[in-house]
Amino acid sequence: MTTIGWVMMLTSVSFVLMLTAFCFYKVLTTPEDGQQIHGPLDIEPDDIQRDRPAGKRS
Amino acid sequence: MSDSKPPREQWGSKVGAILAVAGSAVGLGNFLRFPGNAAENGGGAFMIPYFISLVLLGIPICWVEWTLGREGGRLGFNSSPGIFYALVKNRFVRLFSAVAVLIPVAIYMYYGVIEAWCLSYALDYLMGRMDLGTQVEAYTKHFEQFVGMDADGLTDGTGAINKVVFFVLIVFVANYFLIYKGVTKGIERFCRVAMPILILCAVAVLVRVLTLPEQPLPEPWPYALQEALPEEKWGAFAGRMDGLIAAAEAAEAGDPGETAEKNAAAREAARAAVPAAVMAAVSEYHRGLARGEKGERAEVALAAPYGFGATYDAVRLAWAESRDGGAAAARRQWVKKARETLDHSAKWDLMHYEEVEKAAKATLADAGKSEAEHEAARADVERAQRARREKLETIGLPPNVGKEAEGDGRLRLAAFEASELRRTVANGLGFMWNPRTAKGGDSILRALADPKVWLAASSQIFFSLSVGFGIIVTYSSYLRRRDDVVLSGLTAASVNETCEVALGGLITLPAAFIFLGMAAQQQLGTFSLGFYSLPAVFAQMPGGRWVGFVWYAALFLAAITSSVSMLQPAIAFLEEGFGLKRRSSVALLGLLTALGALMVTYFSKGLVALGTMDFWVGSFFIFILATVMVLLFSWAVGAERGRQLANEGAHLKLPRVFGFVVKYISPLYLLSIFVFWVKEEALDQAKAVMKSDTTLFTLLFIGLMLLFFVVLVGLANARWTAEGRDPHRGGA
Repeated sequence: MTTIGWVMMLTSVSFVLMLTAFCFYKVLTTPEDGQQIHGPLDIEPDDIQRDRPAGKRS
Repeated sequence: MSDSKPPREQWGSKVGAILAVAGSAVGLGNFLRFPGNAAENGGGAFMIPYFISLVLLGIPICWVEWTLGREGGRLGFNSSPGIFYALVKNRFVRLFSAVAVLIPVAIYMYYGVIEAWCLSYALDYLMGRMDLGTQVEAYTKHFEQFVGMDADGLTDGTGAINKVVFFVLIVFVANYFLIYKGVTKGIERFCRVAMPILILCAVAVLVRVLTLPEQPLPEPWPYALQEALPEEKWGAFAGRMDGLIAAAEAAEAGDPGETAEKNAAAREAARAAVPAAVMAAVSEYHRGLARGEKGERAEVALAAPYGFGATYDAVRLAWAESRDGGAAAARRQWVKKARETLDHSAKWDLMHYEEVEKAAKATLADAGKSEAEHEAARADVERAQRARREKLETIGLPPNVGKEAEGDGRLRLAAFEASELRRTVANGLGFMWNPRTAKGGDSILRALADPKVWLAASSQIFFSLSVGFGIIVTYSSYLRRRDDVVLSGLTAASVNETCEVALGGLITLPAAFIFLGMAAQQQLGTFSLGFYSLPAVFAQMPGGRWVGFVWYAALFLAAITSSVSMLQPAIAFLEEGFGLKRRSSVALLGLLTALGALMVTYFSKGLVALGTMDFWVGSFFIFILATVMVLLFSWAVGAERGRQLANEGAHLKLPRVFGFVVKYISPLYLLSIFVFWVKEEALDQAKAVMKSDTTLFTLLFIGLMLLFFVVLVGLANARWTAEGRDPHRGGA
């Protein structure tokens, strides 16, 4: 592998890894916005919800 | 139809939405298309236009789609037709949104089939059923039989239903199960688990590849084969070769009693039999080793000839030299010295001259080319031959090639053998990352002067990030009102880039090089790399069965997180356009996509149906849709207003220059790619349409589907207007 090959590889790989690390750092350290309306994890298409036994309904 | 509106679906969390979009973008293209594309278009030099395209094209269009999608969601729409309806007044632009439903649905029809191949390969590795020896040809044949490339139909050679049909069925059930469960409980939950597993699998394969020991460099095949075979087998082979070469030489003269056509056919057949005998002997040796037969010597590094080395002329020359004791020994010493003396870029150049000469000779043989093109091709042949000779003269010419040697074949063969690089991890990385140019040499500036490199890099960014697929816009419509689209879009894009550059770029080609050497250069296409070369690599790798399983499992996960995203835009459209319940929308879309997948699986000969759909839908239409999205954002919504919309709720604010980039630079960049692309590829594809019934039929199918979706979009628009949801008339 040539020197310029090493430079291209290390620069490219470092760039994408640092960008990803920076983005996830920002995502994970920034509080979620409070305007959640529906409790999304609990939402299912309503015909699937209807099929559930009453006790299991979300 | 529902009377009361259920609560609109939304992502459960920011990370869930990011992983779902990243899962949609990360696919086979990251691990198979990117490495081959980069290696063919400048190696390390490819990364400069690649990152420029990422900044000027990929990320801005991602932000455009995220912003348009969230805005559509705020206005109560989740599908592209709904979002177009809410954002533009023009009827025709609203109807054009049918393309945004067609693209993911049509891509799903063939992508699901490829996903089924990956699942089948993963299970075959797990069960230990993929041990077909170490020759690429064996895996090529296996793949062709598996997908039915020899003939159309759903049955294999024995009349039974082809195995691939069952795997397509499994893949369909898995995808529709996830879609049926909904955005949060289906897609998001699955991607939260699948994406980390996919990355862990890829990292495990990466560690295996980067810790591989150096593999022995094979000697030219006539010497290695003699050492590898037991004496009686070698004797039988040598007798057969002598006979075949004598027959080929006799066929050269022709039979005066036969017609010219019959003589030409006999000559071709006799010449083809010579390299075929060598390939068969090498394959037989590897099969013998696999069966544990006595006599074959496992420690010999034997590789089948490839490229020019596998032509009749080269095999005949190599055979003649190996039969000439003294000359053979001198030549062996020369090959050894040349391999040790020539540096990396000199060896690359030698390989490159062979490619230039081959392409130029193909042009010369094409009577349809103009005289000027023939003249340029003749100049290329002379240039390549002169450059090859000059390079070899730096170490001294081979013993049987004089200064004025006649018979350039000897020089070509010598150059071919001298250009083998040591099979180390570092050279494998160099195979992928060393800058090189289409005209030879390793100058980055010369590589960047080639427009093809720019076209390849920008297309890679474009296809890899899934922009223009109509998927991101649907996914982002499930965001909450003030969710951050700037940071989320950038994070999803960065995950995709990590999988592509840091995993795909370090695994695929280095692994192929370490075990296949320079022959890996012959297999840089997505399917040939993924299904021909890599199985041969795993067969030679310590623990290859398990590495193969983990690799194809990772590819399957990458594929399913993408394919499931292709269904959501149409599901969202059917539900909000016609008030269908999930069960009905899944059944209707399932029927339509099953029809398409059946067509792709049935018309398997030469993968023509798959290739046609990939070209026209997976390339042509997505260029068009991405361009329309950018124009919609920058001109209909307004670049400055669009930037302000994007910045709402954003923790990273887009600067003013974003408006300029998205209004002028991105559309111009897209237009330039489109023009180059039409010039380089589309015209040839358009000509191919009239030559194949399957291509015509596939295009007809795509056209009918487009018409179907245009009618549906028209009906949905009328319904929304009747419900008073048109924001341009005070609705929504």
